[in-house]
Amino acid sequence: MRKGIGLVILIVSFLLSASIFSPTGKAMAQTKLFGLNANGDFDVGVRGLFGDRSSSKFNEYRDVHSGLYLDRFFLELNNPAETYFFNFKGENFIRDDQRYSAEVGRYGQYQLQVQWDQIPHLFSTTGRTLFIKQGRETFNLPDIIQTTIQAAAAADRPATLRNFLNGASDIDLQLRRDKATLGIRGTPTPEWDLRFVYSNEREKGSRPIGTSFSFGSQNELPEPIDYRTHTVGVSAEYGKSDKWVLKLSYDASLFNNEAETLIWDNPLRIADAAGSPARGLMPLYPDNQAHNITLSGAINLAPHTRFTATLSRGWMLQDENFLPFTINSAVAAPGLARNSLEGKIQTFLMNYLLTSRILPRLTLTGRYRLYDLDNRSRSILWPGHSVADTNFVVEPERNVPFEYLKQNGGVEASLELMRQLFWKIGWEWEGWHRRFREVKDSNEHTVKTAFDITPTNWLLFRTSYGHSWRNARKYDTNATEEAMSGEESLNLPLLRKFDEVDRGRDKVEFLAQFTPLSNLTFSSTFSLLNDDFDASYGFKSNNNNTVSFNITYAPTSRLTLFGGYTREDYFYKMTSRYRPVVAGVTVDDPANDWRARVRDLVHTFDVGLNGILLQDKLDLDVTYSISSARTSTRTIGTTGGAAAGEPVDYPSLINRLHQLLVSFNYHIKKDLTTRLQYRLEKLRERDYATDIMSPWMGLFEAGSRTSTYMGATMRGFEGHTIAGVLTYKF
Amino acid sequence: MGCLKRLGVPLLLGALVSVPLLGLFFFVQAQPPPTIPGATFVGSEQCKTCHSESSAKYWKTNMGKIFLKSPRNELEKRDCESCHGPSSKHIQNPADPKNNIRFGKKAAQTLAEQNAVCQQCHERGGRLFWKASSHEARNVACANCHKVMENVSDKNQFTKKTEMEVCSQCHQVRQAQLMRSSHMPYREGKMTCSNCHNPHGTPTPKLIIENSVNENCYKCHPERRGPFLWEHAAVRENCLNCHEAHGSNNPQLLKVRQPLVCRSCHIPSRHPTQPHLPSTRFVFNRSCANCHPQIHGSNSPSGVFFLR
Repeated sequence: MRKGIGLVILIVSFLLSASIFSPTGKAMAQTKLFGLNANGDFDVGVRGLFGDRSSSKFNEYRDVHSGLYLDRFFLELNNPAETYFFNFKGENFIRDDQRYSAEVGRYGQYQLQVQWDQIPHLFSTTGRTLFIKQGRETFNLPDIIQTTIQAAAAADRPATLRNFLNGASDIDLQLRRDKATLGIRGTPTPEWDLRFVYSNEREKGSRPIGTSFSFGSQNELPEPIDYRTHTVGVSAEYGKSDKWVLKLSYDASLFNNEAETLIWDNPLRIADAAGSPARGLMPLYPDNQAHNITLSGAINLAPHTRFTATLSRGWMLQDENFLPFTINSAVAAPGLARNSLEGKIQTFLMNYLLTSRILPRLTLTGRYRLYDLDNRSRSILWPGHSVADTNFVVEPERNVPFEYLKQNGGVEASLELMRQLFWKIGWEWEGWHRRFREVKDSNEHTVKTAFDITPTNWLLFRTSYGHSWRNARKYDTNATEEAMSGEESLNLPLLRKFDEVDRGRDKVEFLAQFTPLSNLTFSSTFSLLNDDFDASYGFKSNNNNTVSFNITYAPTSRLTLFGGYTREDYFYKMTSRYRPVVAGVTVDDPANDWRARVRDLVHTFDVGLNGILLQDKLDLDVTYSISSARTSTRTIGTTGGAAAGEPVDYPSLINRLHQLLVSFNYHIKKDLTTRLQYRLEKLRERDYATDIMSPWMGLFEAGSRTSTYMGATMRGFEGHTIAGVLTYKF
Repeated sequence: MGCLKRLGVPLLLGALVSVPLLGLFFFVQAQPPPTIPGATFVGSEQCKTCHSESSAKYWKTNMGKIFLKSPRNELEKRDCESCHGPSSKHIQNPADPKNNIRFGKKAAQTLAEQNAVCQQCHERGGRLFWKASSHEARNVACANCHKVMENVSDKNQFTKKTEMEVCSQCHQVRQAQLMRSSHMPYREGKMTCSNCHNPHGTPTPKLIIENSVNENCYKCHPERRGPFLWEHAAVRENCLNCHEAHGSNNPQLLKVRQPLVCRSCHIPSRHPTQPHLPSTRFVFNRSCANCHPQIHGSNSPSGVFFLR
């Protein structure tokens, strides 16, 4: 209500001010405000929303409601000499997704900017829970629930829990980012460019998180989000544009989590017991910092040669105090070996690039890049761990600070074979060196070629092809586990992880732009990516192809038609194995192999028109788009029942988004337009993994009868919006 | 990574290349903008005679105001002729495209020459790495994305109203991806392509602004930065091992839905990997993350399996 009143006051103010801004005298005279040159515009309107908009997807990242609204206000002021400026821009006034920015300064000399930006994120509108939040990070249950369920016979517990869950209360599953930014830029002389940016972002709300005490006792909770992030950036650049430039910058990001711990009751127990805790304990994201110092430079060398270099050193730091192994008082857990990680990652980047047009038609480029992630966090030997607060397993293990060094290099030649026909050929190399992972060293080489052709000024082709091959020198399945515990990996020894293993890659890209007539533009793209991993198990291949067309045609000066279509096809293959443990021994039987085929097929289509119905008076804009995505997952392989890995063809995932906008624009005056708009937004969402969710999932699976969820779904919606908008420009 | 030991050779190489280049410092010369042989400067007042409408629009732009009212150097003082070159021959024969510098498809100058005009002033700041960047190397002209002569967009003088429209002229598939159910708030106008990419070039592949993909993601997701006690190696190396940033048909921008995305690297025996039915806790809701919520890294002494 208060928002509504505020909005009415704002809109009335703007409408009244329209008369102030209204230029006097000749139609094209400069608008004056307090003796300053003023220009700007604003959109105010009233809208009604209809249809089923209860899904979180309708307002996922926005805040659209019926009633009065002020979508945009822009004001720019200049002194009469037009050497100083002030501007203000506001969007989505008095809504959860509002944004305001203001700038003041002198053209070409200095400027100061302040900005406020809010981004909501709505996860679900159907969440329900029995848990009651106490303080920032504790979720309690009424004692009666735990007492009753603990006292009930094991066979009766699911029904008892279900009865309680029937009374679960609605829960807010959304968060909002509020970010304030201050920026200052100064160019006191053409040689200097000084910048300072500070931002303060608050992220607050809750989102679903999974927690568990065992396979059969999962509790979905609203994770409390209460983040504060400060970022600072300072840079100084000096140089002469036509000669050389040197830039030094410092950036810092300080992240602080006000809700660092999650404590929640176990619905099945009121009192701690070995194997069944009364509460769970989990740390949420710890506070951390990052700092970066970067020195970049470039010099232009005669003739047509430029050398650029970057050196950057970064630090990521984290030293939050550890929580105990468990909150379960019935479990005898040892004390902590250390109080905190003293986590420290140092990064180092260096990048060199030399490019030269050594001949009028030949350009050569060479580049080298190194990125080193040096993880200096403590590696601590732990006596064991608690499994979900149920027990303490004595299993000495060490945390390993994964780190890597990545290098890239390459050379490229670009030859202008004839005017506007460019041929490029090049070689690239990417080398990885890792610690504690399966592949210590790998090298990937790419040969590529490209043609850019502009045979006439109305035709353009760009096409490229690249072939890559990655060689991993040795794949050590046990590398990580040996560093952690000295034991063998629990993974299938034949598994090869796709991001490390040998890979062959072919990549084709094509773009055509065609403007045969001044009123006809056609463009098309095609791309193909084939990744073939040398793996018997795990991800085996990834084959993608996309094709798109776009056309714009203006048959008359009063009508423009446009349309486009994109087809995307992503196909993944993987192989896995069912490996049951029988009498303490893992059964590795190739007969239990199964394969998965995942295909994402997406069609996106849009069409529209911009038409003038009455010259200088009435326009019509119509756009319609549909994005239809279907993911199908098939598994093929062993037989013998689901428990033994029976193949399952999952129901297709379907997302189909329709958007239609029809807008009649009536120009009352040159600077005053009214619009009557109709908007349809319709999402059909079918998701086998979330559509069935409810707080009690025992109906679907026996193993879930003693678990609690929130029933947080994200269904489709159908929203119809009718709006009347007034746009005023001054 | 024993950084300094491993960096010795590259640093040495860098120094070997840098030192002689720095030695050439006093002989430096930028790629010159194109010239119009025989033409002389006539002043921008002359331009208004025929181009009054476009001049009026141009002088409302930031660049127009600087050149007209607050020029900072001799080049800017030439106003129209700073970019279009001396115009005396153009006045004599306006139809001949060789008589002045033009931008776009009908220009007599090559794309490199057209770009060189812009780079007289715009080769610094975010454009430091333009030369040999992905776009420059594929002969993309400044004028493909920017329109200097009038304000079409609120900022950056784009050829289209929004940045996304500009980028999707060539990156049509990316635009289609933004329509996916799982997406970042691009289409709601809260993000743009340049939040993650600098189209003018960067030291990082794919025109990523920060020093690595992950450092880019940490800008908005600093909580995932760590370092954590228990790190997930594939996560530490590259967020894109699991996520498709431009939009996905799967929740959380996953490339492939859980549990398959996890199973691509994990075939354990502890809870045997099998194609579970969709109505089981191994698949529904957040699948593996129903029990392993800390997959981005855990700071719990009991977090070795990311349960805590």
